[in-house]
Amino acid sequence: MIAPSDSASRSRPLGASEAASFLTSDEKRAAAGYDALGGRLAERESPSAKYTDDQPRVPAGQSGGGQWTDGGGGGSGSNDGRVRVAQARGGRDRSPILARFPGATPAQEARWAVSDAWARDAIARARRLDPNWRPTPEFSQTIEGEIRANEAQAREAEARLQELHRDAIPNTNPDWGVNRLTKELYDRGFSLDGPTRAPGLQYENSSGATVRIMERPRQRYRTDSDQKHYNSFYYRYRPGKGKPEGSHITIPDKPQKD
Amino acid sequence: MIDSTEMKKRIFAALEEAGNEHADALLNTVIDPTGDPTEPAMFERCLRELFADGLIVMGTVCIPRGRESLTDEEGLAEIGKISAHYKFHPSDGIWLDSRFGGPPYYQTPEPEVILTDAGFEKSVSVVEKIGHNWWRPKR
Repeated sequence: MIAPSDSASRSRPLGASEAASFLTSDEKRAAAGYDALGGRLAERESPSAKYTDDQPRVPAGQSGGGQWTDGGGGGSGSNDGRVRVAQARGGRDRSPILARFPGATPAQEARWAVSDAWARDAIARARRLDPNWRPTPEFSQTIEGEIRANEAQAREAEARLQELHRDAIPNTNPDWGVNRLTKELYDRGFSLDGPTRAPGLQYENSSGATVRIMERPRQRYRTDSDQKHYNSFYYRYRPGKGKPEGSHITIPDKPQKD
Repeated sequence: MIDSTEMKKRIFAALEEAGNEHADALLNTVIDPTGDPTEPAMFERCLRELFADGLIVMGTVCIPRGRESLTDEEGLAEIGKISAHYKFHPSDGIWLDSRFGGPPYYQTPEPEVILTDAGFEKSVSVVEKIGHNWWRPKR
């Protein structure tokens, strides 16, 4: 029998012996003409060896609590009674979520960070249009519950945004202030019709759409739409000739530039 | 079909914010159009009565010329043309004034309904009591 060269040994398929699950890894390698790897490496190849219930973790309450350790029994220097953390730690201790949930895994920590950023952004956008709106408060005891709560709040905020912008001019950004919105109307072929009776201006275009930008009224009726009063301006959009106007859409206030 | 008292209340509520509105758009706002020819006929009658009571006047508006006022005679004559010229468009479910085809729209002066000061006071009292859009389904 000719011993396989190095390159051939790397590329040679193990063939039928690979599928023979009753053989150990070393037996399969021997059947294909390779050297045995030794018990320790063979153990590592086994998927069942990748996770064991009794693999030690850093105790709760300690820095890096809950993380896997190397068990302290494998190599030299590990029998000194100290626990060595297996993962790279890269500043995890500084994460605020770890202070609340010390057992959180890095994956959970990352998912929490994503859900937290999503929720913060969506809530901020909704509250720019409706400053009085708040998401339903959610409390949880676990990091998974915390992630679900963040996602629920983000979805709630996005639903609120959609509701606020239901009758909006298509392809406009809810964050645009009155100056940007007016500029956009001119860019889209709208022309100024003239002032309205209450302080405001009406714009029309030749395809039949109408936009009325109004100042927030001084008086508030019991039955008024809240969107008239959230910010200094609101608008109403009629999508085509003769069609009824949509509901009130608030226009977010923007800081005045000097 | 609603009665003329209810239609007038709706007209006031619809005009409260802006104080003016294209006549055909106003009709489509205050009813849920079905194409029944009594709809523009009743609208015309309501406008005529409101005009006679000094609560509204008529004007015209278009993109090239903006807003222009009409004399009382011209305004009444404009109201009188409504039921003759309004055509129902089933695809959109709205009434449109057939004299103003398009697009392009709003190139020639089109009639609009404008609240007078007395009409504005009346519209404020209607909105205070009943609110806006009470006839539309809540979304």
